[in-house]
Amino acid sequence: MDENIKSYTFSVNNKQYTLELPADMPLLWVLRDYLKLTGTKYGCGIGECGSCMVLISNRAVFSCQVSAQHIDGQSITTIEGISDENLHPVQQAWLDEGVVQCGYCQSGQVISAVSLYNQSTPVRDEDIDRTMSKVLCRCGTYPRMKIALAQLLTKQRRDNHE
Amino acid sequence: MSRREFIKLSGASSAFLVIGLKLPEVMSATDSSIDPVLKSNIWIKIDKHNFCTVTLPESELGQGIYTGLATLVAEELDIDWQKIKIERATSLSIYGYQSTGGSNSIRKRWFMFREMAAITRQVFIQAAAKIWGVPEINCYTRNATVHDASSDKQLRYADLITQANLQTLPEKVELKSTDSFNLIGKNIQRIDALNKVNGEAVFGADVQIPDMLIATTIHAPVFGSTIGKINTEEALKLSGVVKVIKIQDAVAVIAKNTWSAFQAAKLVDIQWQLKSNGLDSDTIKRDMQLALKEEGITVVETGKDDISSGVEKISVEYSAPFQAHATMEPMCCCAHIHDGVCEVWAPTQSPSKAKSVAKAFYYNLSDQLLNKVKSLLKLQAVEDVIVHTTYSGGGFGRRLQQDFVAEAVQIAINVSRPVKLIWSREEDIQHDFYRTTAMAKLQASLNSDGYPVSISHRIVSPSLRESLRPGSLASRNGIDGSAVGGAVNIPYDVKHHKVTYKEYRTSIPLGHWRSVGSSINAFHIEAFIDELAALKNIDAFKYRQSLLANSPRLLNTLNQVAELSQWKRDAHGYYGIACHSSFGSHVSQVAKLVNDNGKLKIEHIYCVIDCGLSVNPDVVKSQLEGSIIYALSSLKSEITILNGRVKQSNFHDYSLLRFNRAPLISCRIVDSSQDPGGVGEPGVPPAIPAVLNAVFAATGNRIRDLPVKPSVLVV
Repeated sequence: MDENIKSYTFSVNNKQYTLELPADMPLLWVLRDYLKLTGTKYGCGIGECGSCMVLISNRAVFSCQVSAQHIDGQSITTIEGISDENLHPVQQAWLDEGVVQCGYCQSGQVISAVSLYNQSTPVRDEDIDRTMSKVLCRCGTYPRMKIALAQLLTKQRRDNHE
Repeated sequence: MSRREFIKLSGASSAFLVIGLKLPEVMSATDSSIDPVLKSNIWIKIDKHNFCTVTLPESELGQGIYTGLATLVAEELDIDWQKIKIERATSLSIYGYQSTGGSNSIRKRWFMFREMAAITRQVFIQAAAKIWGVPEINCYTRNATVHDASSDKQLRYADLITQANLQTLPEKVELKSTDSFNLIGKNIQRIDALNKVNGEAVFGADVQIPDMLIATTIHAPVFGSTIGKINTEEALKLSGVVKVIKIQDAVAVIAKNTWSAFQAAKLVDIQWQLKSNGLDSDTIKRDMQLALKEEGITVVETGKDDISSGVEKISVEYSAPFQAHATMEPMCCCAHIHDGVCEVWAPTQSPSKAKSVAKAFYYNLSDQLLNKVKSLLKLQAVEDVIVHTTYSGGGFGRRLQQDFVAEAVQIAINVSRPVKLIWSREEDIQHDFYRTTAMAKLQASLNSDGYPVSISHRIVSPSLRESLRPGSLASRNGIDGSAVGGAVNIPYDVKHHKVTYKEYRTSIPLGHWRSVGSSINAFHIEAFIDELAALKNIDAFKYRQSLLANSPRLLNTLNQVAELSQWKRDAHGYYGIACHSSFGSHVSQVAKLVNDNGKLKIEHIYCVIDCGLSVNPDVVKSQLEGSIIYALSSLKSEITILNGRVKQSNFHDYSLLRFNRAPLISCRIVDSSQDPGGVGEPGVPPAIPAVLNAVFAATGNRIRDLPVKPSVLVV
C-alpha cells in the first residue's frame, strides 16, 4: 500500500464520505473520478480558469488547488448541491438572462455567483469583479452574467429591506 | 437525388431509430420495445405520449443549434415547444455526413428540417381525413392534434401513427410563410440551458463507462520531433498507474484516475528524436517580412490597374500572430471496443470524420490507405464503429480535427477496456491546430477627393490547407482559399481591386479558428480603410458610407450601428468603426473607448447584424456578444514559437479576456425575412479593427501589429 494514501472524512453536498486517497490528489479529481460528480470541471489545473470552483464553507475555491489532505473534516458544496427541488436564485437568474452557451465553465460561474449571493456583507462592484474574474469563459457570456448578477443582487437587497 | 427519393430513403432506414449503448442490439435492426413511431423520416419521432423527439445531426458547441433545429421542427409540425425532446444523432450512415462548422448549420438545414416536419404533419392530416372520411382540406392541426373544422372531432398525432404509416408521402408540402411563424423568430429559452446551470450536461470529459480507465497523452514539444526511447520506470511506480504505451505521435499514460495519469505523465522519460526544428516566431516574422516584398500569386483582380489615375498613394503593412482555440474543455474522448464494435464518445464538430478516423485505427489502417481500399463502400456500410457526440465545451474550429479520437481508439485497443482520454491544459495549448499568423501589405491610390481608385492586398501566411492536407496547395495553384477568405470580395466600390497570396511554409499545425481568414483579413482591410479616410480627415463612417453603394445590406448595418452607438456624440468617448460580410451575414460594429485613470479601455461595443431571418434572436445576440469577446481576447493573446515549440502552456501565459474587462455590448438585428445567414462567426471579424480604429482616434497612433501592448490598451 502506498504510504501516501490516507483515509479522509468530509462531506459533499451534505453527504458524509470516508475515502482512502493520495494526500496530494486535488479535490477536483476526488469529486470527478471518485464521487462521479462531474458538474465540477477541469480546465487548467493551476487555479487560472475557475471551471472547478466549489464552495467550502461558502467560500468559492479552486478545487484543483485544494488537495485531499486539506479537505478532511470540511464541508463541500458542488454545483450538484446548490439547489434541491427548486433552482437556486442564481441559476434562475442565469436562465432568465439566457447566459449559457457551451456551458462548460458555467458550474464555476454559478458557484462564484452563489458565493456573492451568500456574502454576509453588502456586495460591492469590486466584489463582483474580483470574484467573477476568477472564472474564464471562452464563449464570452460575461455581459449577460453581469446583467443577471446586477438584477439578482438588486432584488436581493430589495427583498432584504422588506 | 430528388427530395422525394431522399425522404423515402430516410424513411426506409427508420428501423435504426433507437440507438442504445449496446451496439449489437442496434445491429439487429429492430427493437420491439420502442414506442410506435411515425416512419416518415429518421429525424422526427412521435411517441405515445404525443411528444416529439427530434434527432439532431449538428454538434452543440454553445451556439444554440439544438434549440434552433428543434424550433424549425416544432414550427412546421404544429407542436407546442413543451412537447419537444431532442437526441443527438449518432454517426450511423443513414444520418448522412455530419460536420458542424462554417456557421452553416441553420443554413444547411433550414429547408430540410422544416420540410421534414411539414411532411410529417401532412401525413397526420391525411391519416385523420381517411379515418373520418372527410376531405383533407377540412382538417387543420394545432399542438400535435388534427382537428376537423366541420365537426368537433380531433385526434392526437400519437393516436394516428398506425394510420399515418400507411399513407403515401405527399408530393409537395407547403411551408409556412414567415408571417405565420409562431416559434421561429421568438426568443425561446435554450433547450440545453437548464442542464448547463445545474451541472447535469454531459460533456466529453464527463462520460462514464463501467470499468473505465483514464488516459492522458504526451506529445513531442518540438514540432516534427518523434518519439525515441522511453523510460517508464518512475511513472509506473506511482500508485494507480496501469500502463505507459507508445501510440502514433504520442505517449499515453493510462491510470485508474486522472490525477495519477497527469502525475505519471510528468515522470515518463522520453527521448525526443529532434531537439529543435529551427522554428521561432522572430525568424518566421523576418522571413514573412521578406516574402512580403515580392508579389504573390494573383487570387483575384477586378478592373484595370490604373494607378496613374490616382493622385496619392499609400502603402501599409499589418501582422497578426498565431492563436490557440483554448476551448474551456480540453481535448478528450472516450473509446470502448467490445463485441466486435468500436464505440466512441467525443465532443467533436465532425462525427463523420471522427468515425472514419476511429475506423482507420480500429482496422489498423492509415486514413489515407483506407480511402484507397476498394471495399471502402462495403466497410462504410458495416456499422461497427459508432460515434456518440457529446456536448462540446467550446469548439471554435478546434474540434473539426479528430486527433484526440485517433488517440483514444489506439489506447482502447491496447488496454482492452473502456478508456477516457483527457489532455492536460498544457498539451491542449501546445498541441493545437493554430489560427495562422499572417502578414499583409495594403496599397491604395486615391483620387483627388481622397477615395480609393485602386486597392491591392498582398497576403503572406502559412497555409491552413497545406497544413491539414500536405501537398494539396499545389493542386489549387498555390492559393489557399482560407488564407484569403474575407479579402477576395471586399464590399467597397473600387475601380481596381487585386489580392495576391504567397504561402510561407512552416511545420506548425494549423486549423480553422472562429471566422478563419476573415479574423485576419477584416482587420487588415478595415484598419486600412480607416487610414485612407484619415488621410483627408474624412469621417470614417461617412467614408465607408460613400464606398458601400454596391453592398446595400452591409451599408444598412453600417448606418444603423452609427445610429445605435450615437457615433461620436459623447465628447469623452473615442470611436472606431468597422464592417465586414462573412458566412452569409453582414455586420457593422462601433467600439467606444474611454480614458480610465490614464489608461485606455474598451467601454462599449455596438453591433448590428443582418443575418436574414433570425430563428432565435436572443441566441443570435448571444453569439454576437460571444464573438466580440472572443475577438477582443485576441487583441492581447498570442501563441509564440520558441526553439521549435510553443512557448505558452496554460491560461497564465495564454491570457484571455476576463469578466472585469468585458465591455458593455449592445446588439441589434436587422429585421429581415430573407433566408438565414450564418451567426456563429460573422460577429468576430469587425471587432478588432473597430477597436484599433478607436485607439487611433484616442492616441493618433496606428496599431498595425497584434497583439496590442497593455500600455496602450487595457484588455
